[in-house]
Amino acid sequence: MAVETAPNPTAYDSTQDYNALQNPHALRSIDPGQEGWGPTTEIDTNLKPTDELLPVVAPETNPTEQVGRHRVAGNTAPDYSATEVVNKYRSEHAAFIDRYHTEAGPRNPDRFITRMGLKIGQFAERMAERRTVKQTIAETTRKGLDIATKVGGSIMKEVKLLGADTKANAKEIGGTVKTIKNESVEAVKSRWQKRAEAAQERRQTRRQQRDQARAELRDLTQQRKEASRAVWQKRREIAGQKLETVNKAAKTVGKSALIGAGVVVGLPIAAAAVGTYYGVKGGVALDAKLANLDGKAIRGGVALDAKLAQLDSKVIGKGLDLDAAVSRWVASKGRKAVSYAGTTAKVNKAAYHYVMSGRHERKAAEHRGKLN
Amino acid sequence: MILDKTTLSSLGINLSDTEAKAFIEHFEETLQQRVGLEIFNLLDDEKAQELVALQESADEKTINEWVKAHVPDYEAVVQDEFDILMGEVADNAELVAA
Repeated sequence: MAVETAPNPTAYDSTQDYNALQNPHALRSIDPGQEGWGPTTEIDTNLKPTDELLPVVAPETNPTEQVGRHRVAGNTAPDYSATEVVNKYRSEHAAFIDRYHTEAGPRNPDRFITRMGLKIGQFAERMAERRTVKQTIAETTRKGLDIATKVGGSIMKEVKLLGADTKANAKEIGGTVKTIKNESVEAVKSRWQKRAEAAQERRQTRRQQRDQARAELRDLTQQRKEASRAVWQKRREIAGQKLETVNKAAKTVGKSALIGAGVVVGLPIAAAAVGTYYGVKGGVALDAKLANLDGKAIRGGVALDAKLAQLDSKVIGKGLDLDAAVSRWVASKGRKAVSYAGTTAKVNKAAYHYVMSGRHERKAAEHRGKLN
Repeated sequence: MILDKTTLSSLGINLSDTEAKAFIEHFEETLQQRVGLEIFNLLDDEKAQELVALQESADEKTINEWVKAHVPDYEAVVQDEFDILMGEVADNAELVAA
């Protein structure tokens, strides 16, 4: 009885069997008396990887002793150890095992199937794509040829190479059917061949002229682009130069010179730039003037303050506290006194004299006495 | 037709009426195709697209007027393609006759 042990990945779950090949102890997974899959006691050296595996039954008795040993149910042939089975299987089917290892990775033939399935699927998909592309090309080409044929046929009718009266007209067009009496077949062939050569030369010339015309058109287009680019470049350069001139002028001769020069009129970009520059420059100048003014004002202020300070110091230098004196005087005179003085200056003056006369001390004392 | 049995005979191509008719039809179709292709070849892409669109909608007269306007030497094109094809027939006369 030939017992087939080679796993057929398409016919069963080969993982278990394959694991058994890799690890004989995996045979323990077959319960006693139950069907399972695994290497058997007999090895058919003619096995093929695609052969179907037959079910085997684990020994019903002494399962412990039978661990690692296997036999086909009903088979009386001597048992072999699982290791022997595996080793023999490996030696006989090394190529198949290697294929599992190399293409699917160890112990996972299902993955191989999956991968093959994907490969087949991808291949089929690509083939379908190619068919589609080829079909599209073919259809396009066919359509193109049909169009060409239609146009060609239409033109041939136009030159009367086709149609009811073409024969007579064809003679007029090129004498294409003109025959010479008693002309040999070879002579006729030679005549047509020479005509064909001349026609090919003309066709070649025509195509060259077409290519040349297209090239010239491309060159012309390119030249126009370059010329346009050059014009713009020149304009930018001019604008840049004018702007540079403006900047220099602005830096050297200042705002008035710029206005006097009246530059960059009609050149929007430069004008805008100049306007900005002008504005900035003017602003700077204005700020400077304001700064100067401020400076003067400050200096004036300082001077004023200094004068006031000097005045104050004079007053202070005389040992008099003007503010205190005025306050006292105003306080002593009351609102009527202020009102009488009329102005602050008068008040100040009156206060000054009042203080300088020394009367304020006396008056103040009197005032304090009254208050008291 | 431009190519007839007599012309074929002058090239040493002696065919039955049926065979001659089929061959001439093939010749004419090939010639029409080549003429059309050559005309398209002489046009730039834009004009070629224009002609494609035109032949789908316009009649022959319109198409011919358009070709005349854009391919001034169209008659020479037809003549040359005819001569070239006849040269090929002459080159392959023995195979055709076999």
